This record gives sequence, structure tokens and C-alpha cells, in this order.
Amino acid sequence: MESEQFFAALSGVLLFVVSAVVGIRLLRLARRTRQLPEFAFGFGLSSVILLGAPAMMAGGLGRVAAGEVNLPATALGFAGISVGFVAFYVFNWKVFRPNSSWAPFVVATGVLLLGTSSVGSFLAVLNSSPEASSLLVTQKWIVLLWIAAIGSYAWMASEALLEYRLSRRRLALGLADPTVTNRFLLWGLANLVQTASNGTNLVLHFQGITPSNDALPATLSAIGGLCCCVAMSLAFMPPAAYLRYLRRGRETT
Amino acid sequence: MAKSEAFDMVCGEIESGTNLDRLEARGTVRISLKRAGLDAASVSSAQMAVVLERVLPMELASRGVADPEALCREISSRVVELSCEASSESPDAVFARLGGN
Repeated sequence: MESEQFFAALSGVLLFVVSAVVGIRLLRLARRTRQLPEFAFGFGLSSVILLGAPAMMAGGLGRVAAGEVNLPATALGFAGISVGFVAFYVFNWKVFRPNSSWAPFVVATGVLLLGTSSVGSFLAVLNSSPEASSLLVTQKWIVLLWIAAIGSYAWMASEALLEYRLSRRRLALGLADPTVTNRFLLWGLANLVQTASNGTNLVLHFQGITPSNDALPATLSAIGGLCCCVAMSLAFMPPAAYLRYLRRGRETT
Repeated sequence: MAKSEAFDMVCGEIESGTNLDRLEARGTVRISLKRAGLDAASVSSAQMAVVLERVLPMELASRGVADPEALCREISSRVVELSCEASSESPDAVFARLGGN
């Protein structure tokens, strides 16, 4: 394995661990508070990371011939990833745009893209010859899933960064907690990195380049993954010293 | 979209206490809230009191209202009596919970 591929794999494992821990923590929080936002967010992360991604890997889609794909594992993988991203769309809608008339249509578009991608991919594998490459027969459907994921990250990034701007104004008047203001920034940046990373990979895919096999995109993905790990850890599992640093910074200004 | 009780009350008080008409009064309060990073639909009475002290006087002065500080102080004393609290569903409240605050 090349060093950049090792770096990318290490970054992927770290992102997996951090996302899983944050997802479980938020589900435990939701059990206490009975509030939808923490449930949607925690469920989304857990569904994508703990169910969808491992099941998809176990299914072998994209790596083996169509006849060798483990169909139940692949179906579970698509279900986990799709339901997870739907939960992210719902989180955005309910937290940032609860009274908006357009937000439900964005959620519905996400549901449509994710559902079409899952059903289309599954049927493509079922109806292709056993020797056919599962990667080639499903790639046009997988692109829809990719677009839905990028849409979700981009929406989360824009809403969080917009809220960060508003929160800074509240902070100047003593109407916000500096740790919460910083959390909007961290979550916005984490999603901005995910948007850029997935967007780049999608463009490369259309140019016939497999990102994980190419040094530059693999390195960029790895750096993006590490940035996300740091941002998510500081946002949702902040060490006491970091919170003290933010509050002290606010007091001195 | 429904506005918060604090927003409606302050708009009404400014309309009756100044030469501004209903549209101008609501627009002025709305601009002040925007400058403070707040939303007319969810602003609480405590938040509105801060806007009345720190932001609204300047906006009213720029529209030719005489002695805006006194007017805002008077409105503020009534606003804080409203039982209009910050929503537990606001992005601030949600992100505070998500980080364990």
C-alpha cells in the first residue's frame, strides 16, 4: 500500500471512530431529552457509520462481480446510508428552517435521490449478468447517492456558517455562549470540508479517475477526514480545557 | 409567519410612541433584530430588552425619533414582564445541548 493510501485509510478509520462515538453520545442524549434534533443527528450518524458503511463493505459492491455481491448485506448498506442521510436532511430542516416553505421540498428531493439510487443500484445488480463488474453496472445510480450526500453536507455547512455569523452578533451583545458560537463554526467547517472532498471525488469520478487509487485526491481526502475528526471532536466532545479557552477568550475581549 | 409576542409588543409601542407608521415601526424593529442576530419569530423578552438597550435607540435616532433612549427604557420595563422565553428548539439551544452545555 502506498503511503498516501495508508494515510487515507488511517484518516477513514479515525473519522469512523469519531463519528460512531458522537452518534452514540447523541442517541444517549436524545433518550434523556426526547428531542428530535439530537435524535435525528445521532441516528443519522449511527445509521451511516455503524450500519450502512460496514454492511456495504461486507456486500462487496464495487469490488466484486455482480454475481458475487452479497445482496442482503448490500440492501442493508443502502438502507443504512439512505436513512442516515434522510435524518441529516430532517435535522437541517427542523433546526435551521422549521418554518420554511422550501425546506420540506429539499428534504423530499433528498429522499427521492437516495431512494432512487438505492433501488436502482440493487435492481441493476440483480438484472445484470453474474460476470459483469458490479462497479460498472451501478455507477450511474451511485452518483445519485453521491449527489444527495453532497447536497446534505452543503446544506449543513451553509446553515451552520450562516448561524455562526448571526451568533457572533448575539455574542457581541452578550446574548450567546461563546462555546455554542464556536460549535456552529466547527460544524460548518466540518461539512464544508466534506462537501469539497466529496465534490472533488465526484468530479474526478466523471473524469474516469478512481480517487482512492490516485495520490493527490487520496491525500486531500485524508487531510479532509482528519480536519473533520478534529472539528467534530471539538464541537461535540469538547475537552474542558478547550471550553475554558473559549470562555476566557470571550472574557478578555 | 407568526411573530413573537415581544416583537409585536415593541412594534406596537414604537408605533404609538413615535411618528413612525406601522410598517416603519415593524421595519425598524426588524432591522434592529437583524443587527443583533435575532429573529422576529423567536425573540424572547430578555433578548428584546437587550436590543432595546443596545441597538434600537440608534435605529430610532437615525429615523429622527427624539430621545429614543428614554422611549426604549420605558418599553423595556414593560417587555421584561412578558413571559416570552427563548425556544428550546432554537439553533442556539439545540447546539448547546449537542455539545453537552
